[in-house]
Amino acid sequence: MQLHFMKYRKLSYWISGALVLISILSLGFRGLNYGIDFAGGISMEVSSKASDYTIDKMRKDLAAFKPELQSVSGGNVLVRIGLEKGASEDMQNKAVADIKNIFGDRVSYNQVQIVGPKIGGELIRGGILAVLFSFLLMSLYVWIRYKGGYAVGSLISLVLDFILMFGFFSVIGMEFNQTSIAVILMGIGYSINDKVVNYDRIEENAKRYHKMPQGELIDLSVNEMLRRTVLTSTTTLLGMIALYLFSGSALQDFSLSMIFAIIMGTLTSVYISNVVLYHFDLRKDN
Amino acid sequence: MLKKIVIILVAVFGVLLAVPTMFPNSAKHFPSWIQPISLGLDLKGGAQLLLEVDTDTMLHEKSVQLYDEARTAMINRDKGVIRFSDLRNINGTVSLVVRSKDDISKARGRLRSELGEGVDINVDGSKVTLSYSEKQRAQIIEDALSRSIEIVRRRIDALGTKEPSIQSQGGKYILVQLPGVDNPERIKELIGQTAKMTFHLVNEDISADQMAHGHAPSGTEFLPLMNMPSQVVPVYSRVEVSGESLTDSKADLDQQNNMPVVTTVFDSTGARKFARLTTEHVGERFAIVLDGKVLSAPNIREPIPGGRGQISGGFTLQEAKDLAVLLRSGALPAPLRVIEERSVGAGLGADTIAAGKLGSIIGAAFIMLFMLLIYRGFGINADVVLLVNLMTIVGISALLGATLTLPGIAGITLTLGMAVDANILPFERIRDELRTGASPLRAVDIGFDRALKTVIDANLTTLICALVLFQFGAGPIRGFAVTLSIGIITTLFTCIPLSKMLIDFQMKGKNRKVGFEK
Repeated sequence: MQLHFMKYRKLSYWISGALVLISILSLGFRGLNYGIDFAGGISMEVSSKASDYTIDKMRKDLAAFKPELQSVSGGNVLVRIGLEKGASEDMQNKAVADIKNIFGDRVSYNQVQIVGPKIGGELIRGGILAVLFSFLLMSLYVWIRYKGGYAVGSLISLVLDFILMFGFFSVIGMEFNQTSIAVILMGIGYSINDKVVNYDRIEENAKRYHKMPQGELIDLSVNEMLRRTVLTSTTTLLGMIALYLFSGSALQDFSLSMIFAIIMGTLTSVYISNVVLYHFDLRKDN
Repeated sequence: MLKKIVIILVAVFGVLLAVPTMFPNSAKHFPSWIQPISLGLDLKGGAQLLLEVDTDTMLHEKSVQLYDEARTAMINRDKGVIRFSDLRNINGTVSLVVRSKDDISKARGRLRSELGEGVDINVDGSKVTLSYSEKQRAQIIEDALSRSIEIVRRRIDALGTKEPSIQSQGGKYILVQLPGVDNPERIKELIGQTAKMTFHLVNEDISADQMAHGHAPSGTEFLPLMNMPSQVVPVYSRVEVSGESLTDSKADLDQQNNMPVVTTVFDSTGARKFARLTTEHVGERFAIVLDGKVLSAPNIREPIPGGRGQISGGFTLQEAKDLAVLLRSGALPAPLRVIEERSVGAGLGADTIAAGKLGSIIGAAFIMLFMLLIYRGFGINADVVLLVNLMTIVGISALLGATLTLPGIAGITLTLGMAVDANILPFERIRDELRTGASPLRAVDIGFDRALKTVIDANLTTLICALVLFQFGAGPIRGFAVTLSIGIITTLFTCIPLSKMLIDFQMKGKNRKVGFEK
């Protein structure tokens, strides 16, 4: 059985273009749901020690701080207070001390996070810098190892991965935090791995079948690798699905976004990074 | 043969490294460098504070010092006074105007020799501007950071916190990790004070009118009382004795009224200064100032020669104890601000690690089952290799002193899923070779040989990604990067050779069939 990826080349481009458009529009209009890591603020997960001290009473007690209260697993309550414009770290620390005074002995604290206004910007800059730098280095490796066309192909699909990952976070509205940046970067790591494996076979076949037209050559190579591509993404997905199902709330966002990253990385390998090679002369030395 | 022994030894060693982590009870049978992996605060509970050194305030204080030094240099009596005017300090840049044009080069030479190399001197006409050089500023900040770390450590040690970790991060931050502490309020309070203590004389010649209008004459400051901020005390700006001269301080009870006090001991210089102050100013008041607030302003009833003092300030016993700790550990060179706090209760940490373990064990089981289903006999190899890989990743992480966090556990599961590729690639290649009619033995040889190149290329690109992650990332991002890098290295150096060896071993059997043939 042979699948004809080259025949549907244009369709792949159109679909990718549409997805990029959706991602960019969503990022423009909806933006990202920044978590406390980037937006700053206070988040406390408390569990009530007195059975009559309910979430409603907590809400009343803390009204002055304009908190968001939410029941979470295990009968705990998540208290979140956004960072007000112009609020300083000292004000935040004082707010937390005040809240602890108000709660007194009635609750115990499972988790307290206070993030000041300064950290977020630095983290985002660092993250984006890391991504761009890794793109550059990885493409450089591919260029040295193979040829220019492969480097351009991998770069195009990496940028596509990058935009679609951000789009995913924006469209789903999943909280965007430090772990999300790690997911994006690891997704890119997975994706480049997949692409290089395919490129390896294309290069090998290009040497072996001198006369084969380039479209056929790519189709043949991708088909040869298809079983491996599907098997490897399946094993990786199995690991993530297990985390999603059995590791509780703490890893749910991570595993879900990673599942998306793996599926996306696999699809962009098959439909984009390989297919764009068609536009380069793979047998010419460059 | 030698190759096989090396492969087996490496694998056994990798697995052994992980045994104390997997079975904590066994740790005592291992040498001290093979120990369980240390758990992150998210898994064992504890508090983490990120402190920012207020370098702006400190550089400002330094420029005030520069201002004083410039004045002293210019009016140096031994070397002759150089007349100047218009001495100013604007945003850290000190400037002055030399009166006579003939003195300009002399002034430049004098300032250079008195202020040292760390100060940039610019002359424009008769105006001289002074500022710390870029290098000097960096040095000042670096010194402040390392001194702050030292003092924070002393303060935290004084509270008896177990195994605190205090390290610099990103040039001007200090990361404090406190395992087992789930309410860091008291530590925040202790860290949040600069604890700069000075002794001043009180200016008694201030009229009630001046006090009411808040017009302090030059050389005098109105400082608020610590426990009654609405009331101010007029103190001379001149520091008579500074807290740096204290060698010891303890919380105690005053023998007369049983109120908590802090008793202090001065070093010899401090004791001499303090004796002179109390001798020359009997009957006057002096003020004990902490971080710009007056703790108390007692009357000097008699000279105090022994270098021992007692500070009262309406403290509670706890406050007196805290103050004693602060004075003992010394003043911070610059204020510290807590800009991030994360704390996790021990209970939640235990739940998290249980959930993380469960998910990753089931994940590994899923992968192993899948490999068995797809590759049958060879699947067993892949599964053995996967287990060795899992143990080796954990073991090497422990050996390198890496900290296991929840993102790290997730990263291991992800890495395992990806590492299986190093088995799938050769297996698929072997299938291809068999289909083109190669003999089983040859298919295995060619398959591994060809796949090796692909595996190396693919893993090296991913390694680049991991190294960049490590370089730029912080917190969970670094955790992922470390796990990913270790996973790639174990995959390349343990899994592939081991897998090949196991398969060679299988092929030696009587029927010489490739494992996944039916």
